Amino acid sequence: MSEIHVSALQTENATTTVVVGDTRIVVPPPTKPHHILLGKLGFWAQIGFMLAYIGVLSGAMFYFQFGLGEYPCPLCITQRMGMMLSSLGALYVVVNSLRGRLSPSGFMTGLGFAILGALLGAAMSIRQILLHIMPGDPGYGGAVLGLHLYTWALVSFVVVMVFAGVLLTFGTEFLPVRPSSTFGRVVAWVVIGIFLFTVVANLVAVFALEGFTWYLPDDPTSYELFNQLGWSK
Amino acid sequence: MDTIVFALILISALLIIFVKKRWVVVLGYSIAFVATAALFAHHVTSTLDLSF
Repeated sequence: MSEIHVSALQTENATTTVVVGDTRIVVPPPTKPHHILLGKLGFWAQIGFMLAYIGVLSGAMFYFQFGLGEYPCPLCITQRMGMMLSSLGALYVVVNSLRGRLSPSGFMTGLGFAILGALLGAAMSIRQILLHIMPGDPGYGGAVLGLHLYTWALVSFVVVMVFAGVLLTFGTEFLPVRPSSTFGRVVAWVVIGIFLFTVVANLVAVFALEGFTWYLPDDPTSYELFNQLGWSK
Repeated sequence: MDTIVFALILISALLIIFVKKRWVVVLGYSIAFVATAALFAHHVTSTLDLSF
């Protein structure tokens, strides 16, 4: 049995250096274990992100478009797309977490999707805010708590950027950990299903609005598909 | 065009759910992103009469 002769053993700032012959082995300090509760919080924060945008998209479509009969303008539709692109980031993180294959790099990919979607959406909502910024301009469509929907959209995009920025600041501390209970995982898959339904519902609604034309008019006043099919009164 | 962009976003979501390879997911997202940006650019028809 051979013996290993350690000629030096130094410890400085929790880093240990072992010298064996001519070889120096640097042992880094042990990393703090990833706290499981922060992981769970990270997972449900992503679900909350998806639910918030599902609520906003459904509220805009079912209440303002179908309930109050307001026709969404082309920029409103593109802002819905921005919200969906942003939500795809949360979807990516949640799906991979549920499948048990979410790596730190995958987490970053998801947050990247969320930030890019929010940036694009913010550009769209800023454009629409500036179109109606002159004093006396009534704005487009109804208002909620004194702000028009495109202004709220900008608020939501900024919130997404802050959310992603905070998570990135903490590195992998909030790397999502999937729920251990079957109930929790079922709830997550139901939210994913509702998100897909929201995208499909928007697709059908905009097809009815646009019909077989390439682009929406600047100020839609009817469902073009029904006009083209001769179903309108 | 709006209908097509929503379809691209839906396809991108389905890729995230059903495809394991990340480059496929990133490609799907990129196509949906560029299509949305192009649609937005099409609707930006005039310069704003503002001075900052």
